[in-house]
Amino acid sequence: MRRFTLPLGLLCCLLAVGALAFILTAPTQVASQARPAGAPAELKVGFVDFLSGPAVLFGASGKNTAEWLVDKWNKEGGIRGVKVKLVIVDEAGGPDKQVTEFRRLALDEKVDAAVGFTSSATCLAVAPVAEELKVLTVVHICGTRRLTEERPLKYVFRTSNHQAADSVMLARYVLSVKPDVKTIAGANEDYAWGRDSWDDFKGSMLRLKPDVKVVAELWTKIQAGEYSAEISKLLVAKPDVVHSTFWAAGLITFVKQGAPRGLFKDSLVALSVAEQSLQDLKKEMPDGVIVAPRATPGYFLHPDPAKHPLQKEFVEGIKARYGRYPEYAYHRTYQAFAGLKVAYEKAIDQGGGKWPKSEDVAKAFEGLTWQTPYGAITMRADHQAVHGGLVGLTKFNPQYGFPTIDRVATFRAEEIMPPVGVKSPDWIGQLQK
Amino acid sequence: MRLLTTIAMDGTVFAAILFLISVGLTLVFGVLRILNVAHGGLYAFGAFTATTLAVWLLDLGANPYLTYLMLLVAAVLVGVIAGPLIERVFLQRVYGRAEAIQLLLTFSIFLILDDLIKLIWGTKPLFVSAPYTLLGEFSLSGIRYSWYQVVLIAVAIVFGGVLVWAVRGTRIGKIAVSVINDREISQAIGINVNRVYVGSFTLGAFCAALGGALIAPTIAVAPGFAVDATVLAFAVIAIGGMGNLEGAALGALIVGLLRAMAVHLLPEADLVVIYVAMIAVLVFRPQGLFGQVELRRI
Repeated sequence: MRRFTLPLGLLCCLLAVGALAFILTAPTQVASQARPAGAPAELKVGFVDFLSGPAVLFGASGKNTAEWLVDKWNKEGGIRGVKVKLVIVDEAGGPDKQVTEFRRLALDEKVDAAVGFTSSATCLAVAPVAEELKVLTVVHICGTRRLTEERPLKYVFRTSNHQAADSVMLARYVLSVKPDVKTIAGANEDYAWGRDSWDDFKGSMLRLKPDVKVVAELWTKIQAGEYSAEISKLLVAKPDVVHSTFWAAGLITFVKQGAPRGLFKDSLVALSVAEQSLQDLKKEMPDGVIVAPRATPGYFLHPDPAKHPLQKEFVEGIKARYGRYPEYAYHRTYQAFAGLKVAYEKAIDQGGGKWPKSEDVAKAFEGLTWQTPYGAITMRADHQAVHGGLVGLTKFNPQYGFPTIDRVATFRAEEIMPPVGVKSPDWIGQLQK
Repeated sequence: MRLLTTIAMDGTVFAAILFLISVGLTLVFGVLRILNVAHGGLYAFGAFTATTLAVWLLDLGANPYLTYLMLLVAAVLVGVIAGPLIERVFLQRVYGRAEAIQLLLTFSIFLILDDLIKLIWGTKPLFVSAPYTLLGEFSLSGIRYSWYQVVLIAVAIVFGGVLVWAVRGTRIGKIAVSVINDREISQAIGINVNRVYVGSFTLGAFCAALGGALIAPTIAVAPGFAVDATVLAFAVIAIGGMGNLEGAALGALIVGLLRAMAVHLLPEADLVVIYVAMIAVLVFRPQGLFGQVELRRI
């Protein structure tokens, strides 16, 4: 029988070609091997936030963070090899419109998950629909405590403290810097956010220092833009402390109109959302005003980016791409997306490497702890994540050209958020110093 | 006494702001018989343009007092560019048509202007403080006010007076009144009615932009901020009588004082008191306090 032999040169060529082919396709092969069984071509995530109207400041921050994070993850190969595709929706138009949009996201766009919702009215309207349609929904900013306190949730999660934490934290801080406070006043917008925030602040103050008197409770339209009469009323009442949850353009206008008239000299003013506007207000914001990134445990300078790699990466990345230091809306969007990613990864691991269903991810989300630029966050069984909060006093920083936060105080989650199963008003009624 | 003084001052400041916002609206309705919802867009354009020009001037290191001139320049620019453009391209096609069509058209223009603002200026709030803080503050009954608030009151009074004089005491004003009363007769006697319409709408646009420009130093302008102002302007002219300048002034004063009283005495009623007043006036005097009952022409 004739033996068939390949010439040696041809054999070497074939081996070389084969090796080259293997090297070139190795990442794909590795990625393919890393992709969970049954994984989709891409993970479609709807992101819903205000892209128009007065709250566009929130939406712009959220969209920037979402795009920055998703681009970063996709460059790194996606979530276990599955790239993420964002479907961005404008939250403007009211709750009814948003319910329709959510259904469209779920049934037409067939998103795997939805992240977002700044407005309390929207998140309360959308949550039952998310539960009905079994769509994993991660709420990033919406502050109403009612979302997680009034009904059990299966598919809906909130990855940040609710608004009661802002108010309790402010009350504790006020008492730490002005222990002899005797009178307080509120200037807030007349809707759920303003009303609940003031009620919780007032309740906390009266619980922690029962002899405090409320000398004025002022209500304005959302983003009213004209506060002269309210400022006059506060100047007449001369409270020791003024509490306000004004935000975005409304907050800037309040500071613009109040500062020249001496409001911030006559009273210690506590602004729960003002960290978001420090870069815009610059020198207009007086020193010595209590400001917070709501009850979020960090802002762009805390923790020190030089000592925390995630914080450094996030702060520098956002600044380089968008020309702005991340403020609280950026951080809360990061919390939401990062939590979703880690939940997916945990669900994949728990499923033995299979691509998980929404129910599996939801189950993995409960009790999950994940890392953010300023530390760990934990999701509780009631689908409410808890974390600490940071607050301080403004002090103009010439290095940045706008005020940064001085005399920073941080509070632990258990000091500012009610425990599982306890409603916020009841917990505030039992607050301890 | 201090409370009365404070309410009077706060009410008058707010009334001045409301008058500046609403005078252009009532003027356009008076001459063109169109409820111009786009008025809010022109008001916003005036505010954004004024803020931009003032910031630009300050960045150049110019004398900050020149920012007051920039407010006027902004109003003129918006008025003379947007006024004739909107009137000739859009409004002239719906004169005499059903009011619903006119409302829809002007509402559409308002939305277009709102989107244009976002395209030009983005979504971040803009503000300039120099015009507001430059004149300093004074004390009235122990409460500090900005002198700029007094300037707003003075400008509202002077501007209102000039408009009334222009309408009643000048040839052009009398021609406009003739067109208001009877368009056909006015045409028949040789009045160029189209020119009156363009001129009136341009003046109305200038008034809207001037209102925005003057208020801009006191606020942070952001997309959508003009919506509330527009609604308030409609309430003011409904109370005062549509198409009547004195009515706009009285309506603004009533709304301003009511709001100031509510803020100081009953803050819970602040948001509704204006509209309660509007309903009360419309129920008992549907044409407004200074409005005329319109006779139907057969």
